[in-house]
Amino acid sequence: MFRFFIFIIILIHQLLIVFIHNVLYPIHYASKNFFFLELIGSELDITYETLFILDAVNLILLWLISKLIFKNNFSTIPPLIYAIIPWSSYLVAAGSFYIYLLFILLITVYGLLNIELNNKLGSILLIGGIIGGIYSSSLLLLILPVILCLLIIFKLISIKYLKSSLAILCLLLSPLLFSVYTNQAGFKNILRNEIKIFSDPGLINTVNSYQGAAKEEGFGILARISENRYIFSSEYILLKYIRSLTPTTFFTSWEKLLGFSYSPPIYLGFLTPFLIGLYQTIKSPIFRKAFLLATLLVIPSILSKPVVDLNRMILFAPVVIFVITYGIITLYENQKNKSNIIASFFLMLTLFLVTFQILVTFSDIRIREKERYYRYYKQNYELEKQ
Amino acid sequence: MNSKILIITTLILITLAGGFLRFYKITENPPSLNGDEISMGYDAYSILQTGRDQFGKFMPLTFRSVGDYKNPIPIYLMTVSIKLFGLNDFSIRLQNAFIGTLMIPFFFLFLIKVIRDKLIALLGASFLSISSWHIYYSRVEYETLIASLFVLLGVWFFMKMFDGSRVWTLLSAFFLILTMYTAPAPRLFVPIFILIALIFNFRKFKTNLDKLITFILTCTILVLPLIYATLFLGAGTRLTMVLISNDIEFQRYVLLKYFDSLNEAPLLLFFWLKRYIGYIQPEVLFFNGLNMTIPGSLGLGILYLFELPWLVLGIAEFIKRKIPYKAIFVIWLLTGIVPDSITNNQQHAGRLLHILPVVIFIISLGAIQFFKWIHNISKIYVRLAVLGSYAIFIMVILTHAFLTFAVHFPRAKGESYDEGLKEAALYVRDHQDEYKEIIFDPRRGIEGPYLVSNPYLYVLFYTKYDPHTYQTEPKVTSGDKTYFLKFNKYTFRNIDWLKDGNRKDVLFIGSPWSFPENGLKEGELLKKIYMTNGHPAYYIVSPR
Repeated sequence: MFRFFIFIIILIHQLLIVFIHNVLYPIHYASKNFFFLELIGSELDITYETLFILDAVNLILLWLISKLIFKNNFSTIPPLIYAIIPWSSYLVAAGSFYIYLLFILLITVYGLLNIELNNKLGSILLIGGIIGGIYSSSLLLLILPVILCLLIIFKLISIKYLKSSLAILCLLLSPLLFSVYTNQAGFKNILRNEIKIFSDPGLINTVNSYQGAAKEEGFGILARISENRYIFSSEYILLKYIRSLTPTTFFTSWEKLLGFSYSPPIYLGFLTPFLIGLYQTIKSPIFRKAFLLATLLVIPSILSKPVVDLNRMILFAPVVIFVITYGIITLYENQKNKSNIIASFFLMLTLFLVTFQILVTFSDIRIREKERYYRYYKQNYELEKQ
Repeated sequence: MNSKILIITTLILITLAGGFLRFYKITENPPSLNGDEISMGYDAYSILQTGRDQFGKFMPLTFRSVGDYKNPIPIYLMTVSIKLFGLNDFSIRLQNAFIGTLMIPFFFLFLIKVIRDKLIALLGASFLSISSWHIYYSRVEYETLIASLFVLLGVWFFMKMFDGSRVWTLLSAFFLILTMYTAPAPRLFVPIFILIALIFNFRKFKTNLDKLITFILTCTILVLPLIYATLFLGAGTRLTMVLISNDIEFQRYVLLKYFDSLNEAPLLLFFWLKRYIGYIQPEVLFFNGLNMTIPGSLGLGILYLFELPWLVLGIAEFIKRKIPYKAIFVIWLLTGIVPDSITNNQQHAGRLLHILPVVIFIISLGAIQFFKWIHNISKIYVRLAVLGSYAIFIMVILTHAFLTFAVHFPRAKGESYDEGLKEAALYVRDHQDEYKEIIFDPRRGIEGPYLVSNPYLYVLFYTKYDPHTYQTEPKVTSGDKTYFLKFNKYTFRNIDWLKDGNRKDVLFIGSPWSFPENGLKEGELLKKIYMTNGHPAYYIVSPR
């Protein structure tokens, strides 16, 4: 029965993608090459149809991961949420490379969760995921090893399950590391294109302007201590990190999908279960550590030029969805076991707001979304580089 | 007894420190009285001298200003400082600085009486004392700061009225309604707060029905004049101008047209919710919420960056801990955001001042947890390292705050404070007898003549123009939207140098845009007035 339900969810999601694609066609992202292929001077594009299929697989992976984290009854909630929210649909419709990276990431996570239950399958998936991720994106080269190390340090996974996998990983990574070594200029170029956090000279200009003004007033030393580029850069990184995690980023159109859309990444109705789920997550020591580690997935967005890059933030979307699911489960169990009126009220409110916003959003997409794009990007149908 | 003396001494020192931060160089920073301050100041002066506002209305409930109406309480209160110190910059800004300082001990008393925790009370008072949010609005004549004190008192007495005598009921109603006569934002906040607070505390009122009736009756009687003024005297003008449905982003970007149909109400609802939740953006809270620096640069938020972990811990502690009147604090915070969220501008820290006590209280809770956590670190060198690093972090942030206030803010925001107009008005005061006419161009702007100021108010203020004369003498205004005002020998209009350049015995004051770049003859340019950032604000010219 769950499989049938998953099939329906996939169908709904694909229909949503087709709808958005038809409305927004031919708006698309500029194509992005794989990291390893760029190093060796080759090229491979991911077609829209491939992304379409990969996104369907993402739904299945979300379901499989949920079965391991939550009870069977609730395992369809995360894929359902993923299916109906605009976030992934917009990115698939625009041909986002990060949908593919999300697929890789979910395989990695599924492998990690399986490694204690079924070492062989878990190891294969883990190795495949990490290799696939690192060969595909230089950003994942930076963050996946860090996440893996921290998982071991925080004892969220025992190293005894990973020994053989780590050895195979080192072996399989050697061609990539060799390519990086032989093509260092190319590697630096790739990183420069990926890491644009300080590409805007505004920050340095502000530092110079502030220090100049303070010096004129006789406070030069104070400005050098408290308004230098290191402090301002740190503050800017902190701002980006916090902004990546604030609810406005996920539940409102404060950050615009594809740079122009008014559709929210996730419907506002899910805010209440998100907050409840977040509170429950922080209360549990294991979930708290896992959540904190998972926030490293916003690093690709932090390294981008805009304050928040929703395209890169899709890697963090499953975390938000799982927290929302945790909140829904908490409300449901409170309502069921303790006949809690407040829990019932919040569940009903969530359902009502989400349904209402789906209708409003669909109507708005159909009537105004293309026109919004034209107002801001004219006839240039290619979005910024990913 | 000893601990009581220590607490009182500490409170006095905290209050004195807060007072110093609010009063020091108050007439120099912000660099000039802005248009609102000048308008309120001259109206207060006019009331003091004649009992009428600048337009001749006797003891008005609302004060007509340029484009909107001002609230009465701040203006009537200002008459006291003008009476004591004369009509000058200090007397205009005195009351906010004084009330801002007074709020520190009142907040301490509030926390002591309601929460009954001396440490939280002292911490709260300290954080309020150094709060950049509160200091900024204490140094300008800004109505919501006065209203925030009344809100604090009103809510405090509202909490007391359940268990105390009827006096608290009357006082609560008085201060809450007084707030509505003090600033625009509370006119929406107070009714919503009262309604929701009464609903949530209905059980308590069931056993105190007489207090409930007294409260509602008192509120109703006190608010009737305001309702009359809003409906019939134009005090509601501002609300229609600033509603979120008129928001430029909403019309141009979301709707792609004007809001004129109820079918678009759902979009408006979600737009409003987006704005409402937007108050927890880190830019507003920690990086640029006070809007004291140029856009896009790192300035000051409504809270300091070092208060971030305290805020997070404070929220968790607030949820976990048993706190008296917790529901009222939550209602206060959530309804307090509503007035600013339904306006058509981005988040404005000044319109949120009435929730500042709740925020500071939560931060105080969090700070205690934070320092308890440090105290519980077993290894002493780790404890010292963490404490030392955090102390350095606090000093760096406070240093940046000081530089923002002292250096960057006057340079970045001088233009929005109409910097230069005071000097121009003082020149008029000192030289007006030498000329048969004085023509003042209201256009200004560093980038171009994109801003319009109201120089006539500055002339009235700094020349201490007799209010009775101004009320009664004939004035000429334009019949259309062109800016034109003439009274006495003053004319406020756009300068057209092609026509005006030959007029002798006339003093012209305008921004550099008002005059030809190289078209002034030698000796015609009498004075250049500069802003703090070095840009010229005004030229004073007389043709030869």
